[in-house]
Amino acid sequence: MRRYVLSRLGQVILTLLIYITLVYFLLQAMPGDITQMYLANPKVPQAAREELRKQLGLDQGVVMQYLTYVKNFFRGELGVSFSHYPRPVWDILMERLPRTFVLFLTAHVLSFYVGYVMGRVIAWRRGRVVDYAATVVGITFWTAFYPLLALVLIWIFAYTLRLLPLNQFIEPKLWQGAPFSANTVFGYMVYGGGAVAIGLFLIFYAFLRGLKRTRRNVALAWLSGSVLVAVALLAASRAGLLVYIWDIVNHMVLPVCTLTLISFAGTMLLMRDSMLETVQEDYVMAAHAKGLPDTIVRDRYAARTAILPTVTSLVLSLASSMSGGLVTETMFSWPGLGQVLFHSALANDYPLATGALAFTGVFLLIAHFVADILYAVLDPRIAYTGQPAAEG
Amino acid sequence: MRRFWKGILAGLLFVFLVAGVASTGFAGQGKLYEMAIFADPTTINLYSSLGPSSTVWNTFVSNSQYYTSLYGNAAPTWAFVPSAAADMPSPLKEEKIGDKTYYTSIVKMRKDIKWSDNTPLTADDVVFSYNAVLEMDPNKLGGNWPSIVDPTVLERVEKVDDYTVKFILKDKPGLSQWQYGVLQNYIVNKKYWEPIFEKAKKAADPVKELFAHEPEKQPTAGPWKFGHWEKGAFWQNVPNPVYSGKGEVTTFYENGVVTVENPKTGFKWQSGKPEGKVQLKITDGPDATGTLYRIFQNQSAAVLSLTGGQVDFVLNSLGLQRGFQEQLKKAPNVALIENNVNGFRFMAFNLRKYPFNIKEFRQAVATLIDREYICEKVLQGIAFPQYSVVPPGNAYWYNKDVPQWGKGLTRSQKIAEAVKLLKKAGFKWEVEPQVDLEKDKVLKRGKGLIMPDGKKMPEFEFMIMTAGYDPLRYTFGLNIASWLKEVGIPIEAVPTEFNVVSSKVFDEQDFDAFMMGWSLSLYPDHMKFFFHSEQAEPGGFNAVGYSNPDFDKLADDFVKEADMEKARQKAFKLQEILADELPYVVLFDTPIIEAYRSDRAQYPYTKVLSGLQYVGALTSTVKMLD
Amino acid sequence: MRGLSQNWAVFRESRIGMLGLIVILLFGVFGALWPIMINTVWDPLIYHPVVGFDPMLLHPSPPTKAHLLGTDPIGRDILAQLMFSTGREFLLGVLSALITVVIGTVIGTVAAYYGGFTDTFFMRVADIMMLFPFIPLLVVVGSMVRLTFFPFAIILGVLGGFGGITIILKAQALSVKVRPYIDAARVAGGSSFHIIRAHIIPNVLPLSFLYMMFNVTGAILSEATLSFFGVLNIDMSWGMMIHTAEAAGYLFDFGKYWWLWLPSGLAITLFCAAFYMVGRGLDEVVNPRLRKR
Repeated sequence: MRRYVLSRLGQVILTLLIYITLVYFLLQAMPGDITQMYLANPKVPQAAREELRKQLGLDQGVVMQYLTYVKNFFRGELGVSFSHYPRPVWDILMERLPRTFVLFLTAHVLSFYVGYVMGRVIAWRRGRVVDYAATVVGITFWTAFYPLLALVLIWIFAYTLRLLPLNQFIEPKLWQGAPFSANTVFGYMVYGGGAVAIGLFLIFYAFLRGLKRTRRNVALAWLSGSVLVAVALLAASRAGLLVYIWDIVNHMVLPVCTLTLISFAGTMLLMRDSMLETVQEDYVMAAHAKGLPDTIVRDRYAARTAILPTVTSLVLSLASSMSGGLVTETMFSWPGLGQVLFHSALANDYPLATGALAFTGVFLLIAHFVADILYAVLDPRIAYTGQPAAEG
Repeated sequence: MRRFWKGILAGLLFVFLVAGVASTGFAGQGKLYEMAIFADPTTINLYSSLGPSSTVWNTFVSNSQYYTSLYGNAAPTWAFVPSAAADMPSPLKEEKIGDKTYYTSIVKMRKDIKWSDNTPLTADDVVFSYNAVLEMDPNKLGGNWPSIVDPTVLERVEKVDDYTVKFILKDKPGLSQWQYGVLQNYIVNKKYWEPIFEKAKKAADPVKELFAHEPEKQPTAGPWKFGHWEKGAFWQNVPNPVYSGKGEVTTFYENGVVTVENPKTGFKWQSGKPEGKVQLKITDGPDATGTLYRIFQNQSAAVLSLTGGQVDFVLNSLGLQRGFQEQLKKAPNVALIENNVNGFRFMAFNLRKYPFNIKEFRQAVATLIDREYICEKVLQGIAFPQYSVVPPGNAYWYNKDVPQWGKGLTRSQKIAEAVKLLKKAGFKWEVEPQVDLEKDKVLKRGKGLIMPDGKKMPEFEFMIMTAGYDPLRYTFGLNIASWLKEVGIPIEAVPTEFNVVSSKVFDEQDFDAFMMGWSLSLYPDHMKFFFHSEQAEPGGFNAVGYSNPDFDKLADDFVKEADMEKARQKAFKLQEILADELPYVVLFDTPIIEAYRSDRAQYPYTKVLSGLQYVGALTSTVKMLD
Repeated sequence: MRGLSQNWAVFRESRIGMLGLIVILLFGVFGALWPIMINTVWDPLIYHPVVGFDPMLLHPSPPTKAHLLGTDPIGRDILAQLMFSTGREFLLGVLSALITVVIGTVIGTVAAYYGGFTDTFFMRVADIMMLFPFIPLLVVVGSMVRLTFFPFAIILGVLGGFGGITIILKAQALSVKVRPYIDAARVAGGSSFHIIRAHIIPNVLPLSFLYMMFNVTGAILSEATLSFFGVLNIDMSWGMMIHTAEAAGYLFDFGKYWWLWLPSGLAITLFCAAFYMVGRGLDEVVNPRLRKR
């Protein structure tokens, strides 16, 4: 096992190097460079264009630039953006990361949960109306043209019904005198939300699984859970954060729901197939034979094993969510990492585009690595050379 | 299953709760002036903002809002008027300093202008604003700096007394370098910026060090100062509490005279003797209690928030698309504005190649293109045909008497005319095109065009915009190609990515023909840049390779001309030459369409070249209705 | 290995799959109408999907007798565009999916059969391909080479072919490779090429075919999304139709200009969903555990 982990780790680093090299030369091969923007203004003399080339290091050979880049990359420096000169690339990525992280993490978890629950249900009722209906509806949303769906939902919920904000991730009028920057609040949301989630998990795990499942214990679990949430809310409100967190949550509702709508079917169908395989396993049959209630067999026996492949796909999709979603970010004016990539690629801003691709690449690599190890650990049937199935 | 539905129900409840609480928050806007913009500005720093990171969004939110200059152009007539200066500059005078001869000019300044920290704006600030940039080298600062503080013209600026400065120039400047260049440089606060320049000069990379500074607390002399910037979400400006322009009245008279009067400080200036009716009277504010720029990533959402009342104006240098115009016509409390723009779209050939260098060939092409049909029919009035390299909207400089090839002719007349022109230059056909002029029909399409040198003309590539980039221009390009093919010109329209066109045309100069557009500045010195033979080398602006010694000489004279009327005569002549020789076949341009909340904002004027976006959405003269 | 008719019988059991198949057939008929219509009923000057123009109307015009689905902002017939694009969507989807699956199958089986360096190499390549965020990568490539119709289909196919699909198909091939008859064939003196071609690939093919259906969906959606952002150089497609409406500012009041977005939007969704459903149906054929007991 240790040798397997080490050799995988070596491969990961090598893969990363090749990936960065590829990305680097791919971007360099794009026609023109950033100094082309000076071509829009005839009053900029040629001398100024040359000076800019020199300033940005574009006058050196490509190989020279590449070697400098790789050297800096492994020292953790991603260089300076051209189109936001002289802002460091790292600075721009860090500005975008919290937004991307909070939105897409929430959306992925929610869509995973919805998909998991529905997959469980329709597998159990295979061949019935609910199975067909959910599958057809799910596939229709899964293959819907996303930008259009987003526009329609914005038009209905934000414009016509005026229930939710139209666009953007905060309300400027609330934030214009805010003592916090949005990223600080996003930070608190990540840490605070994470702490509360772990706390809740521990409480419920202790009371419902660890201890005997009595009426009293259930009540206690709910009680202490509510107390935890209340304390967290109180703390946030005392710190003056609550109103800002609330504003962000309010702006998240529409994009998160849209993302969920469009992607829940992936998990749902995966879960359904996985369930259909496990329901034929002996221990599920045995549970049935014991006369346990249907839902207990479904949730406690069949679903628990069936969740394995879906969890792997969740890990991978979480990592890929770090590259943001160009469509979501554009349609909801939520400028995250996807936008950075798109605009830097269009503007010939090599350092920023390379930096963003490399950054998300590292995330994905780590996730692949973790998924591999998890798989090997969780399912001994898979030989160490095996690979998790990636679902489209 | 029941648990699942419970979950869904709880989720819905949560959504409504969030929505309910959130929508009670902010009802009234007060006198806050809110605008939608479409990209994050890149910096607060003036130097990097006019340098390589220059974007139109920076100009909207900071440059045009914070700074003043000695002189400016008073919209909407664009008359040249003093801002921080008290009167016109003294005429240029030859003067010997040391062993060199310079041209000098004295500028007297207003004494009533204050920085937002309540200190006066003096000659020291002006001298610093110029000399610091010269010391840094405007070419290294890049972007717009070499054209504003032009090192080929400006030697240095000296202080005469607290409110008088003296310009020392290396060479006699033309209008574009002097009135429209050096004299309009932004003035910054010396006390704030001097230490930053000193620190930058000591750094390994002074330019980078200077650009990296974010001057959130710098004093400004314009109506606004920096408030708050939440990257990716909004930019907010707050009023300059001691703005000296508050209450200042600018009056435009029928005879073109402009007067400025500040009742508070007693400052008065007029460009001449006012005669005739008052055409426009603008009182400076600002009336709004602040400006807020909301950053959107997609236009539909921005327009929805305009009709929904969240923003008062959609600020975009491209204006709104035609679809919005039609849909907004009936929207309550939304008013639409339409204005001409200063620019043009054109088709051009590589004049270094045969037979594109034959004048009659280009004239035949220009004759064949039916601009009116495209603009009125296909583009349905969202574009207007253009024939000169100076657009009609720039009325002072526009020559309306340039030759207009093929205007008003029918399809068959155009073809007959083009055939005549081509024959005149010695072109022949394997199958000559034939038309029936009476019935306006093409009887026979031309085939196998033979060039004057006896060879068959090979197929050539015409680079047009891709349908994804701009469906309208793509359609126009396809139409042009099909018209030319009718007379047998072997043209092949190839949709090409913008970056590729720009790099092939300007850097490599490896192309046959292309279609592109320019947006221009008021003073039409682009005629020199685009067509002077000194710009014909790779990287220059005369990428088509036009070379005409007579034109070169006239263009040089034109940019050196310091007298407005004489300059105008020369500009007219230049336009005539260009319209006859056609290094560019000018095609059309589209007006700019904008929209605002008529129940919120009241502008002193809405008719202005390039629209309200060109004057920064009039933040300081707009009246806000509560 | 079962025969084709047996597989068909299993497939027919799947209502989802059959629904998808019917929708695909309907699209096929719809697309086949295009050459007939343009050569008989429709005047190409007016009904050409790219350069057509109807001078009699103000555009975009709502549905009329002459234009059953109205016209777009530059005066082109929506129905003609929809029909014309159908054939091309088929071509784009099937071509790119075919390339993906051919590459994936070949690499997957070769990697499984030979193992060792070949295996590691292609698996790492797949890893690297999977690191690229797809859409931004295509934007970058698109600004380099002008991605017209065929290059785009090919790039899409090739990028997909070296990606995740090789891993899945390799796993399948591995499970075939260890079966006794492969060893028997080897002992009998069959060449590697023969064994791969005659024994392994036929057993991997059903799974390849299944993934091909999913890849058609992926290709069409990628094309539509990239067209929406205006980074492709394709003259007409369903995605371009929506882009044209969006770029001209008509995707704003949804009720009023419904014909500009609804037909194309619906076509994309239905078409992709249909292929996906067929894929689901095939899944039951390929994967016996999913079948009804």
